[in-house]
Amino acid sequence: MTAADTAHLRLVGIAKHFGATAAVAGVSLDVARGSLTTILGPSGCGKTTLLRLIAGFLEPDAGEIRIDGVPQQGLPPYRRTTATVFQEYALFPHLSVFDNVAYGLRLRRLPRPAVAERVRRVLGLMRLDGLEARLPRALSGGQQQRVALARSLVVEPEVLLMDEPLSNLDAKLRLRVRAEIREIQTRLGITTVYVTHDQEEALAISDTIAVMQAGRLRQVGSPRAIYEAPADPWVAAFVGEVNLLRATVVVGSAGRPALRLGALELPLPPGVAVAPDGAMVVALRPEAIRITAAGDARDGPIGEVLDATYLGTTVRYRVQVSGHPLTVDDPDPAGKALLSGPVRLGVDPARLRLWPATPELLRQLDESA
Amino acid sequence: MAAGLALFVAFPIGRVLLEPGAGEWTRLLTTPRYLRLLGNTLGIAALSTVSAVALGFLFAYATARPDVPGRRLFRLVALLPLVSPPFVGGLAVILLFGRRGLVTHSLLGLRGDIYGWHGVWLVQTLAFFPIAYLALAGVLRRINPTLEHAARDLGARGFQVFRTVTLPLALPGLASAGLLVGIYTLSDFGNPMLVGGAFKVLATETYTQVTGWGDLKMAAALSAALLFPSLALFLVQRYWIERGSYATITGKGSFADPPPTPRPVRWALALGCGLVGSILAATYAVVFVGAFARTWGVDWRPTLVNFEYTVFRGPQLANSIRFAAMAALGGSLFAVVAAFLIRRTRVPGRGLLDFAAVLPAALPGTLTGVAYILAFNTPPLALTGTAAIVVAAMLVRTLPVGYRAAAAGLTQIAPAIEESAADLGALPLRILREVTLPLIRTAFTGALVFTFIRSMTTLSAVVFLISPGNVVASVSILALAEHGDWGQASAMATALMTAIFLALLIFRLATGGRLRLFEL
Amino acid sequence: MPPRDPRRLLLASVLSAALLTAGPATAQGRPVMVYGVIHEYTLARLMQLFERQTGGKADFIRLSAGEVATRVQAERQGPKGDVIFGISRAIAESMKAQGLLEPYPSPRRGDVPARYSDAEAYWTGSSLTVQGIMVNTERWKKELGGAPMPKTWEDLLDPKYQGLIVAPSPLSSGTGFTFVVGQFFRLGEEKGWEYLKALDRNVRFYTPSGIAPARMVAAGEFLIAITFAHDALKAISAGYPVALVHPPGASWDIGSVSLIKGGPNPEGGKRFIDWVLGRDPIQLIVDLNFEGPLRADVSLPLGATPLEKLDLVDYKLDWAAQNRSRVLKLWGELFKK
Repeated sequence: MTAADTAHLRLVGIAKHFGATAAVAGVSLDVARGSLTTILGPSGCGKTTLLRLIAGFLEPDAGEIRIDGVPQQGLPPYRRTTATVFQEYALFPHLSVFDNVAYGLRLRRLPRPAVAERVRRVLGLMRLDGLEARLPRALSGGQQQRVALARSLVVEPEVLLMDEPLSNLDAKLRLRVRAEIREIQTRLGITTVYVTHDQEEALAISDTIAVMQAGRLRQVGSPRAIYEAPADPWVAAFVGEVNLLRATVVVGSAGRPALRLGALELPLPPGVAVAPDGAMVVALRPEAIRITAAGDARDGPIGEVLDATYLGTTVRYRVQVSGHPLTVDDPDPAGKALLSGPVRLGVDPARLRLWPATPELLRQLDESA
Repeated sequence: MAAGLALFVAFPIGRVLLEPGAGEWTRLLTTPRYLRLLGNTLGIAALSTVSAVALGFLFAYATARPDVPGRRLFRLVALLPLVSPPFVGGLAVILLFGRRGLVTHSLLGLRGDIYGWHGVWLVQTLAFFPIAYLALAGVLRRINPTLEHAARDLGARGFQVFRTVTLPLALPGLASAGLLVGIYTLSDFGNPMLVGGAFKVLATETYTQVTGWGDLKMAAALSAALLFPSLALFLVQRYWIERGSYATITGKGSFADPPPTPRPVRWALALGCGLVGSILAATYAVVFVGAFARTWGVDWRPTLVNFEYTVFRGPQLANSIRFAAMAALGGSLFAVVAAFLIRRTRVPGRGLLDFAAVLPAALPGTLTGVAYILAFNTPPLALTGTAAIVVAAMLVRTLPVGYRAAAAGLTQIAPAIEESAADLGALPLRILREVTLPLIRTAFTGALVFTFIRSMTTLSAVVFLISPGNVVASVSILALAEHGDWGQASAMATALMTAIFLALLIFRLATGGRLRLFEL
Repeated sequence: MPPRDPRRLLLASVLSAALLTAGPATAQGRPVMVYGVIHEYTLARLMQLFERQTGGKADFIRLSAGEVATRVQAERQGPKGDVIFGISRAIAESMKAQGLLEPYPSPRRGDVPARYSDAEAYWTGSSLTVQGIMVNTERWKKELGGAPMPKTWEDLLDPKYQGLIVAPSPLSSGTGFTFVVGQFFRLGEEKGWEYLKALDRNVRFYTPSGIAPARMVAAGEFLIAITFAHDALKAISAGYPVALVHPPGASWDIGSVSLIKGGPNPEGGKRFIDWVLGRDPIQLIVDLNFEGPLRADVSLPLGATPLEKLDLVDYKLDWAAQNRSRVLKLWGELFKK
């Protein structure tokens, strides 16, 4: 089977302008059947606009949206087979939980018993039994969120769209509801497009993440690929914590190409494109750097601990190395005293990400510094 | 605060209820004529209320949709009737649509007759729909636009969205607006008097009992009879409808705007509002033209003669502005402090105070006027003959609006903000001044402007309270109009409305354009 | 003081200017307080003339007759007004009966025929006005062609006038009551009621205010008004196409002046009454308000018929006062327009 066959939702060259600004500037994306695809990006990147284009609240200026191969352009929202869960849930305040969920079914003129049956089923699925008669304002935030999801699921949409559905919940609840959403989505196997600005949320919940910035997709891939093999320094910096550094490719002591990072020299990983002048940009995750007291290890550069923050599962250090501050995580701090003063750092070359230092990249680097 | 409300609200009402003797009460209950008038009153109030609310909803709905052409203009037009003194609108309608009206007779050659229940219906609808509009505009604005998108997303098309979401959500607002307008129509005497013809209502009877025969006791009994339906509507509105409101403050919504309005609907809305707007604009044009014409309907040559009298009675206009400004300032301040104390502290008897602060909305103006003379003519508070009683009447009659605005403003401020200030050691008054007041300034300025305008044009209560040297312009306009001196009446009304607009302009400039008119 | 936002300064100055300008009027010498019921403009001119001719100061408010009665009644514990001007006999009599008036036999009383004033000097007549039939001539020509105008009260019963007549309601206007009892004085009460019932068939409706019929006929909204002559004459002089007919057996009323009992400035009030009964003030009222003078030395208003050429009913004031409630109750039951 080709990708075109498995793509349940397919976006091709979608563009949308508001006045002079391009909110979405040529986005193509395949969403596999039954998958949960997250559109991840900072606020204002166009991710919500993209979702509204799929739902039909907006019409694209260019491009094509297909669901199951059927073009969706020109169809108003009520004729599309999508259902949206809104950021603030948008529950109808004048309708009970039951009537909220039944709303879409009644519009489809389903017979009364069928409506009742399907509503009860989905309410059971969402563990909302017993709350049928309540008005939305008498529900907790988590319950409202589940009603909103139930209301969208009950109409059995081809594609479920979720717009920052957790942003109105407190931190604790957010984790729980996130797990519930994922669990139900997998159980029902419903194709879902999920919009969020929270990279941790995206990593936790997605089959596929599409990172979006300034109206374009920068990278599409599995959570692991996005985190471990970011396509560019911007993605690396947006998803998770990262040290972005300048480096130079030099002829190393062994006569082989090596990477010079300040005082540190590392073997150049194979298959890396190198800029003609050897200038490179390096992304290094904090947990990819080993940190030990200066006396304990022989190799690796010496740094000076600026400060240390105990976070429970890790200790986060800021270490000054040849004039640059580096963020370094010690992943297993249990029982160890916090380090201070001079430390020795070690780097696993396999976990380096390298890009030739184009002027654009260097500008980005300066901006992020 | 409580003493003020007791003295200026409760005491006069009690006083007026004690005025009629057994004879008047018997006459009230046994005269078939009064029962017929009561029937007329309730009937026309119901009719006008329904149409005024429908029209108010049309305007509120149209102006709440960002893609309806001309919505800014309609927003302004809908408020015109509030700026005009009573009588002027009714008079203008007669001049335009009456038996010899410019439009109906001269232009279209119709031989209709505006006098009767249908004339009252038309005039009251035009006069009172802005009140419904103001109430409904707020309600519709508070409906989260995302709900309409959600409905469309779930399969609702066109009218279904309106029927299943927008309308049900506006329903408590509609009922509330209806009851508010109902109270106004019940106590409206000016319009039925002008265009009622053979169709008589209780409010007119009350007024004419006083104006015609000076029968204070009977007038008190009649206005008391009017008080009871008003009070009933008021109580229903307060304790039943308001409880069921869905006014949800959701914070930031996903969508700033509702879904696009279908083109035919968009234009139908614009057309409907435009039509009503033109009628309103025409009535004001009539007043304006009348002010500059030699003799209405006979001699159209332009003249300034009519303004001679306006200049001659200039001090009245100054009185209007001065009293209205005092009532507006005092009233808004009182409203804000009362709202704060009642809604945000644990002062004993809050419920009663709350009731007293909105009760004047249910009192027919005539009753207020009569009650004030009775209550304040003798020591300890001999106020009749002073400017103070006029200002007090203006203040109390507009207090409910200001108080509601302030209370609504307070509701939108999370108590947490105030509590955090209290945590930091601020005393209640300091909290009010430094935290709450700045936050409800919008509501405050809105109340200020509304109180000012209504006080400038108020008539029914004030007409009993003015004294030499303290006459206000609206009383003169009534006297002139009653005598058929349309030129002079129009000139004075034009001057009064110009003064209102100038005052608003100055106020707007002074507050740096931050003033949002009628965001109540 | 910290630097102020100039906008605030502007706001503050505007507000304080609004509050301070024209504070309570503190005139030199106590002004006379007049409650007037005639036209507001006329009253204003009258006060001007008073100040010019006597150097005294007079303030007024214009109210309807009933409003004056209501106010004076409500203020009885502490009257604020000194003089009532222009009020009809019926109201003056009822105020007298309630003890709200102070008798004042002005030295000017002799200028007016005694039958037009209260024998006990509670009120003194200043002007007289009769009731008549007012017709819109323009519409008459167009709709009734060469037909003669109604000359008598009986002419108004012609079925062709159905729905063309407006009349004042006695329930709420003195003008209406004056007309109703006028028919009783002309025909006797029993026949009077019959006449009123017959007339009712042609009346479109009864207006709450006494002035309204003249206003409506002037505007051409109706063809025929039952009105006081001065309201018709005023419309004629304003240029409206109307004519006034004086049918025999016309009812009439007196505009009177009275002193309020216990008013704040009784001396000033008396001075005002003495002055206002004089030639110049009455001439002013006649010229501006078109009422008939009771003084021989005042010329008639424009277009008015001299008193001696009019056929007036014998208006029995006592009877009218005593039977008022009964008549109004019965009228209210008989006529529903």
